[in-house]
Formats: sequence, structure tokens, C-alpha cells
Amino acid sequence: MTNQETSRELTQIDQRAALLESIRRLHARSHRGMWTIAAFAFTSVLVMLGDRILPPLTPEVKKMLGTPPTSNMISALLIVYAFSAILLVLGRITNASPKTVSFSHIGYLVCFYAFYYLSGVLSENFWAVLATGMTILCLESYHIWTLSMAKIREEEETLALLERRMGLERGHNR
Amino acid sequence: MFQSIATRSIIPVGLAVTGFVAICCLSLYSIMKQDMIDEAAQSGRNIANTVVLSTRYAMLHNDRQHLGNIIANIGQQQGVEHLRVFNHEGLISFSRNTSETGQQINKNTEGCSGCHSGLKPAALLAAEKQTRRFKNERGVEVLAMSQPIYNEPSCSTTACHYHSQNNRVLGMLDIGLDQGPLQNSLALMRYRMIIFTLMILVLTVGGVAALLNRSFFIPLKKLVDITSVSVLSDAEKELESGFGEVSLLAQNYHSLVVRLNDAKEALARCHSCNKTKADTENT
Repeated sequence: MTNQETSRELTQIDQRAALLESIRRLHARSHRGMWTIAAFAFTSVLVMLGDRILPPLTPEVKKMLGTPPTSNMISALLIVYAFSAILLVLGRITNASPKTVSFSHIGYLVCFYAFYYLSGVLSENFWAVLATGMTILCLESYHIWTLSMAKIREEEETLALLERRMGLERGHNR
Repeated sequence: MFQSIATRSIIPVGLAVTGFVAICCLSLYSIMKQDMIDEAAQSGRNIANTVVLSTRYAMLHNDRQHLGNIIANIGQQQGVEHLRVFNHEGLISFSRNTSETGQQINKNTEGCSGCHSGLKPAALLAAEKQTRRFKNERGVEVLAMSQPIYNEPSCSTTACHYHSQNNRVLGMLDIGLDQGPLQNSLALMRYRMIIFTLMILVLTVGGVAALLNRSFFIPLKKLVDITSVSVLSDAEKELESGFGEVSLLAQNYHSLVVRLNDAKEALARCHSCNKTKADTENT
């Protein structure tokens, strides 16, 4: 085996390792959406049990926080947020954008829970926030999952091609 | 299953439409529920105010019998769960339920805490703080309103009984209304909205799926079937027109196969021609 052949085989081994690593990373990325959904579901369960866990706000704290926004205003904002977030995800699906599922949505949704809680209408609006979160996160997760799966198939095809080439070259060398 | 174009097209559309319609319906229901409760509270406050005004004359003349009769008669009205008047010290002076008369009200309970939460009781209370919702001992959802009975010059100057000028609030009228009819209306509205939402979802997602199926998936399936067989068959004619871009693709594919077949035939002819030529030359 010449030096050139040895170095080529090493490069191919490196390429194979890189491809395997890329497939592993893509698999992990495809599951990230599920983790985000699980985190949001856990947060929502905590919020649902909030009345039993958290002590009620004292009048002093309420006075310090000031007048809360009206529930109609928060609901209108929630609908605008849901509409724009769904549009953004659909845009990403159309452009096959590789942007991953963002945990920031959980932050926004927790803010909605907090506002409804401070306005004293959380129990009436809990399901609306839950439906918003689940819709946005499921759409994002589905997009990332399909995108990652397509990439994984591409990488697996390249890997199969590389392994076939490596096998052929070994056969020739023998 | 998740790799087919049909699934990949319908899932995001179905999810986005279903989710958004559900969000809108849930928010709309919550807004309408709040509006109906506010309206019921407003009408409850009006009733409480009417009771206070109708008892004013009896109070000014300290006519306790007359006052008791008014409370008992109004309390018998359908939908009134409780009706009581308590004095400045929190003692129930009159009640629809006579067994309550003379009992002391806890100032820390909901309905009282709005004014009595601070060191000094508040003399004025915002309209929304006069209202509270709870389930009573019979399990009935009650919307209760507390209407303060304010001191007036005629109260502190009449000869029959005397209230100090410093007392701004002489007592409270507390009325509780059964929320059963309101809850029934809300339940009816909820069922109607669920049916309406389901109909919208079936029409939207079903309509999109049917249109995609008719104009894209069926021709695509035919195209796949045609391109999967090696020999051109009559099936390709089915795609020659009427399916837009997919028909055009089928025509291009057809012409490509025809050109390839022609080239193959020409090559074969050329081969046989060359072979005959070589045989002739050899002989």
C-alpha cells in the first residue's frame, strides 16, 4: 500500500466518522422538539396546580404590581401572537429553514399565564394558552423532525456510498 | 407514512388550522363568558341598589317589621339564594333566612375583605370588588353583590334613632343570585361553539385535502405508476391533458422516452449496418 493510498483511506475513515457524528447530531436535533413540548407540558401542569402550590397574592403585592391588563386585551394579544407565530413556522416550512425549535416560546407562553393569573382569569383562559403553545410547538417540532429526517437520509446515502467505495478499494488492494 | 407528499402537505395545514381555530374559539368563549358574567354582575348590582332604595323609607323610620317583610318578600323571588342586611359591626340584622339573624359576619371572608383588608376599612369600594362568585353549602354557584348603605344627613339627624355623623357606612346589603341559568346559557354556547368549530375544521382540512388529492396526488400517483413501468402503455394517455403541470411533466417524460427509444433503435440499426458492412468486406 502506497503512502497516497494510506492517506486516502484515512481521509475516508475521517469522512465516515464525520458522517456518523452528523447523523447522531441530526437524530438528537430531530428529538429536540419533543423535549420542548415536554417542557411546556410540565410548565402547564405546574401552572394548573398553581392555585394549590402558590399562596394567593396579597393586596399589598397586587397594589405594588398595579392595575393588571384586562383579560380581553390579553386574549387579543394571545390571538395576534398565535397568528404571527404560526405564520412564521409555516414560512420556515416553505423555505425549509433549518432554524431549530426555540425555547423562547415557552417564555412568552409563561408570560401569558402570568398575565392571566394577575388579572384573576387564569382558569378561564388556561386552555387557550395551552392550545396556543401546543400548536406552535407541534408545528415547529414537526418541521424540524421532517427536515432532520430528510438530512439523515441524505447523510445515510452518502455514508453507504462511502462504505461501498471503501470496501471496493480494500478488495482492489487485496 | 410520514415521508409521502400527501402526509407532509396535509399535516402542517391541518395542525395550523385546527390549532388556530381552537385558540380563537377558546379565547372567544372566555371573552363572551366574562362579558356575560360582567353583565349578570351589573344587573345584580342594580337589584341590590333597588333593594337598598326600597328599604330606605323603612330604615329612616326605623320600621323593623316593614324592613323584615321587604327582605323576606324579595328573598323569596326565584333565583335569589341569599339576601341579608348587616349593620356596621357585622351583625346580621335582617335575612331571608331568619336563622341567620343576629349572627356575626367574619370580616376576613371574601366579600368583606375588599374593604376590611387594611388597618382602616375603606369607605368606597370599586364596582367589581363588590362582586364575588362562590359555591354555597347546597353546591349552587352564586354571584353575590355587597351594596354599602351609606350614611346620609337624614340618617344622622332624625329624632327616632341616631347614627353618628362620623360613620360613613351604616351597614351592608348582601344579595346572592343563582348562576344556574347563566351556567346553562354558557354550556349551550360551549356546545354550539364546539359543533361550529368541528364543522369549520372538517370543511377547511377536508376541503384542502380533497383539492390537493384531486389536482395533485391522483395525477402524481398516475405519473409514478407510468414512470415505474419500463414499457410505455396506454396509461400514459390518461395524463396527456387536464392535470396542468403534471400533464406537462408526463408529456415531457413521454417525449424523452420516445427519443431514447428512437436513439436506441438508430444505434441498433447502426450496429447491424456496420456488422453487415464488415461481413461484406471480409467476404
